[in-house]
Amino acid sequence: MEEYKFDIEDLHKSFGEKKVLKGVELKVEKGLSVVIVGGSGVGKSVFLKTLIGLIKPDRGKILVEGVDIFSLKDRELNEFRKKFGMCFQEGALFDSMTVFENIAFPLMRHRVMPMERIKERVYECLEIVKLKGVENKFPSQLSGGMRRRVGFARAIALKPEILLFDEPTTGLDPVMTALIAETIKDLMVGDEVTAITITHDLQAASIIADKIAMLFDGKIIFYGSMDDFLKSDHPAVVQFRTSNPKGPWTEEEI
Amino acid sequence: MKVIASKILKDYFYGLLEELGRFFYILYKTFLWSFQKPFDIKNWFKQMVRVGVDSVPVVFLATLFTGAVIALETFEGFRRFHAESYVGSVVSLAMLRELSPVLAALMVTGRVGSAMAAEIGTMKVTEQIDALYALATNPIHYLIVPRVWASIFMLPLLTVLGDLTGIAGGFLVSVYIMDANPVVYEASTFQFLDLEDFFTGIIKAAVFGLILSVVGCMKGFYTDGGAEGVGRATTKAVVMSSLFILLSDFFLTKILF
Repeated sequence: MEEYKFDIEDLHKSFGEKKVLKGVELKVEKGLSVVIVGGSGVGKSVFLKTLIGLIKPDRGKILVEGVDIFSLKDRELNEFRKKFGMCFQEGALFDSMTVFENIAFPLMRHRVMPMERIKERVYECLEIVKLKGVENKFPSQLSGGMRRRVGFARAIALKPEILLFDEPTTGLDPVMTALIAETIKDLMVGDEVTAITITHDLQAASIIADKIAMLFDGKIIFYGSMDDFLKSDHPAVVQFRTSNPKGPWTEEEI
Repeated sequence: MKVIASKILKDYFYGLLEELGRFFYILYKTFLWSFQKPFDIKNWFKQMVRVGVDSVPVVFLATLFTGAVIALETFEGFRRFHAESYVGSVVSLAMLRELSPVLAALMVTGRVGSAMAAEIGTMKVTEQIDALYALATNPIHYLIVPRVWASIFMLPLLTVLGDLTGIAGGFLVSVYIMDANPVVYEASTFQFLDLEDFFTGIIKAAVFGLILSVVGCMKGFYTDGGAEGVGRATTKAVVMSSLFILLSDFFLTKILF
């Protein structure tokens, strides 16, 4: 039997009258980088947040390494989250702390190593995301791209097995987009780390993805390799690929 | 018209229930997380400084002038039936049992309770709360527990300060403005005072500390709607804490005596 890192079954989530997820099914193999694409407001961020237990689904199961995360108690879930590193859209850095303190936060909080080692690890993480000389700056003094990379550094500090990226390239110029995408690819060295990235940027997806999935109308309508994605004739995939203003994406809105 | 009125009442009632539910939920979770490792001593002290030490000037001024104004008012009134010698007792009893804890709590609510709501609310709308969860750190454990305990510890200390400055305010006005005899005034201050009066104020202050910090943190924790939401949360935190403090003050006094 193949080992799945994530096994997501029949996931449903509504906010009031609005149904966002309508039965998402996805199995992610260990060591893969999976990119989930979809339009704005389709529920990608909601989906990503349910994976780490930040949002509770109305129905369905999320098994991470066979463990149903919603059956865990508060404290157990808290412990379980050490397996995860999550990178937020704008970095979500703690704005009252410096870059150094941000990255050192999980290390100090969980007391995994002595102070000298923490220092080394912080600089190691900054090097991995290709940042230098920013450790004493506050998040407000950094550019958008830098903030996101500091967010990456903080997420990988505890060496998690699972990385989740929420729209890592939104609002960045093409060069910075490529740089961020390359950085994500660098974080995937070895086959221990499994990553799920959500984006609506095909350029970034093509760099990051081992496999690509498409979320449309509350369901995963495509899951496969990038080549298959580029060949797919599913109308929603075709519309996304060709940036066509007419098609199933816009039908509901019009 | 009747339908609209009943709908408004129903919404208001549900809103009230929701707020109460959130309050007790945060209180319960705070209690549970209080005994979990790691104990972030540094963070606890930081909060104690913010709640306690930084509030010293406002509590000092508020209680000094309140003690002074009570002396001024009662002196004038008591003179009419030749009871000036009891002014000291009135000031000290009023300060210790009632005014010092309530004033300290209201001052700290305005200064720190609102800041708690704004700080945690901003963290909520900028996903920093989610980031804490993602870093295997429960935000109630990391943010709320130290704030609540710091308030419970520091409010009684601020009250002791308020007791002293309030009595001092009364003394200064009576002796230097109203020409009371300092020795008589001092004797009158302690004439009817019991240790029980002192502890009533201290217990009240600890409860007020709990209320203002839990309400402030709760309002921040459930903030939504960006910058406007943070503003709303801050205002509501102050209004709700102040009301809770004044309402609970009555019931506490009734229970304690």
